[in-house]
Amino acid sequence: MPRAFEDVFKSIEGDSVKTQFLVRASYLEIYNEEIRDLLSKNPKNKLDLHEKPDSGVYVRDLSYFAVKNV
Amino acid sequence: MNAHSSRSHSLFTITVERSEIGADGKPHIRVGKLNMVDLAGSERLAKTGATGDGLKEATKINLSLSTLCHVISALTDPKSTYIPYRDSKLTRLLQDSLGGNTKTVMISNVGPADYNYDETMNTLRYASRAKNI
Repeated sequence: MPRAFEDVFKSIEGDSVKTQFLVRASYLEIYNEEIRDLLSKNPKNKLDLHEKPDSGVYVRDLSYFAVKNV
Repeated sequence: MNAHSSRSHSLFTITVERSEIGADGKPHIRVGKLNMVDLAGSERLAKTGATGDGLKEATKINLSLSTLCHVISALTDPKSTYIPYRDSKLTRLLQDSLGGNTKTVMISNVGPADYNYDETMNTLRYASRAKNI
């Protein structure tokens, strides 16, 4: 897994300076058919699934962190 | 049942957004996603003798796993018209990873013990079916 993430950042570094990147990470678990946000301050909160016509299924209120390197 | 094994599925996602100024001078955004999924192990209810919370856990673990199995079967069957993504949270979240234009790798762990023969066979059948997508 670390090598996969290193690869993502390596290919970003190799790209042109004119191109901008945003890398975000999220981490959740499904336990007893309930979704919990493992990066949240309250990991016990249950989150719901929602759907948008353009981007598809997503988890409402799931935390995302912008990451800059491995 | 494996006391050290988590009873949940976990999903770690890296989203990469790439914005590039196109020939028309406007930014073009492309989005990619890398999902790392750890599926909970399948458990035979009769063998684990689970009751109460353990039993509830096992049925829910197996619900997501069996829905995943149905989805895989439907995707590999050219005659099937309906794919039951909506039957579990796991398959809804993985919908675009399973059926869309994505690359998916599945790693199956099996134990060498003959006591686990049934589970091993099941896991291998599951994996072999997933290979046909």
